[in-house]
Amino acid sequence: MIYIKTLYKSYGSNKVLNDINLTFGRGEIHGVVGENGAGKTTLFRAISGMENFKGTVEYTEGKIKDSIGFLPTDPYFLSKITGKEYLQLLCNARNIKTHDFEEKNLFDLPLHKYAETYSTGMKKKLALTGILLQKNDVFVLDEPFNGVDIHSNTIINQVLTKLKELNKIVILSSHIFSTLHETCDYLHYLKNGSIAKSVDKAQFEIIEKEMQPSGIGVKIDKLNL
Amino acid sequence: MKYYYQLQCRRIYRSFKDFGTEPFIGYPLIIFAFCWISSSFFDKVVYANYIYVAVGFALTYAFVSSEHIKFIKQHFSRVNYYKIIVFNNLLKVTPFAMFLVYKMYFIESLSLYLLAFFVSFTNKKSKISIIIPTPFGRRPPDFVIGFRKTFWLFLLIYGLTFVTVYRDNFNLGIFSLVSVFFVCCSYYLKPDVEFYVWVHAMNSKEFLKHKILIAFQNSFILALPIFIVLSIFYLDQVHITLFFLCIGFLYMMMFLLMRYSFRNEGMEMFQGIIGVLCLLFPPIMLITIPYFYNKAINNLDLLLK
Repeated sequence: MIYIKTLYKSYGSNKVLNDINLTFGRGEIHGVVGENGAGKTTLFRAISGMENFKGTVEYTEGKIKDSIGFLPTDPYFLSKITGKEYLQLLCNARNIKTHDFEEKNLFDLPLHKYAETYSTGMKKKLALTGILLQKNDVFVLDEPFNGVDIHSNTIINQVLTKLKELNKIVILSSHIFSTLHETCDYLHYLKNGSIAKSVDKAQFEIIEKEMQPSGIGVKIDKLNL
Repeated sequence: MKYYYQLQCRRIYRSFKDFGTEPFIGYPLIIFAFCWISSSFFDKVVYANYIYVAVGFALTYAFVSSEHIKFIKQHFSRVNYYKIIVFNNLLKVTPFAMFLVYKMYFIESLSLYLLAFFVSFTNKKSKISIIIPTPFGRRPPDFVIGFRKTFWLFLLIYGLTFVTVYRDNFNLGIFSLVSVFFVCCSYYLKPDVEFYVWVHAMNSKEFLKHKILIAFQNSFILALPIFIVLSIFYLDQVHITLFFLCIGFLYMMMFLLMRYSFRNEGMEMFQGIIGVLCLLFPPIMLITIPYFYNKAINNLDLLLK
């Protein structure tokens, strides 16, 4: 279990996260939704231990940082590193002895090529493969479906189902409600740095409606297209 | 187009500000440094006028970002795109061309402008994707990346070792041994990316120990051919070779620790100064290594709690 208690984060006077209280259980998939800049990435970074914050993130199974697989929105790849070497690096970092990366190449990526030359979707898939090979217990996935083709989307959905079966904790963000419907058990609506609403699967539509933009037609009209 | 150049001026202005220098100090300093380096170049190098043209052209070409070209191509009309590219290239070679005029090399100056003009119509490849094999693939990333960027230097260094034996010049051999460590230290000049530190399931001390061990093993692999040659041909001076090998390891360790001591970019100059001081007087490392170790641990503790 992960218990987030009274988590606050601010950059100077700018409050980014405000009194966040959440609980994530084993075998559950949690979606975090919110507009751009709502604080989703900061929340994920705080959970992962990449960001200092006030409050607590309690993980009952031990040291969370060493059990977490973090997929950033826009994974950064070092220059002149092949896909295979990237996977090797991630496995070495967690002391996982894996050599046959081709066999575990879930998305059929060209692992012998430099990762920096990959397309946006391929980069995402490589980063995801990396954290899956690390045998993590907690997965924090910041927009895992972003830039990924339909076929790979299906694979990611199946991977998420498998992770749920394996009793892992999965926290993800997405702007695509249909995928959230398919994958998540719970949804948390992050608005201006606070959790505005947390619902289970039966009530996802409430959040979807709440997030519908109002008055957007007027704004579009102002563009004089 | 006018706004594009206004933006470029703003970018240069901001670069000075980010570097911590007031632009009104930075501009004259750069002009002075350029004139001084160029003048020294002409004083000391044979056929400087020809080499200067080549250097000017090479630097201009190297500073053309393929991403920037792509951006211009995407957003400007074809005519304006070529106008901007040609003007940018001519502008970049102008300092070199002006210095050539000052030195009365008019034909060379004109040649430089012509080269810059014609290169504007060629395509620069965005990324070279030839995979250079390395013996360090099992333990990425520092040596994998570094070796791929500097492998040609090792050809030169190993060539020097051959000359060492051929000319019977032991000092040259020591120089090539030290050069290996110099090159390897350069792999640690840029700060590590946060994610690639955070991802390690280690605490700060374990992380540094792990990094230092890899640095030692990998640099030893690169220094080994030189060490073997020197040990065979200069067995009576093997203690000197061993001494410089140890200094090389210490030097590497210091550069690695410095990398994690500074969290921001732009410290390469400072690291270089410390490096030169330690090269001139190695015992300084007895102070710098523990100092940078403690500083690195403090910084890493933020990510590897």
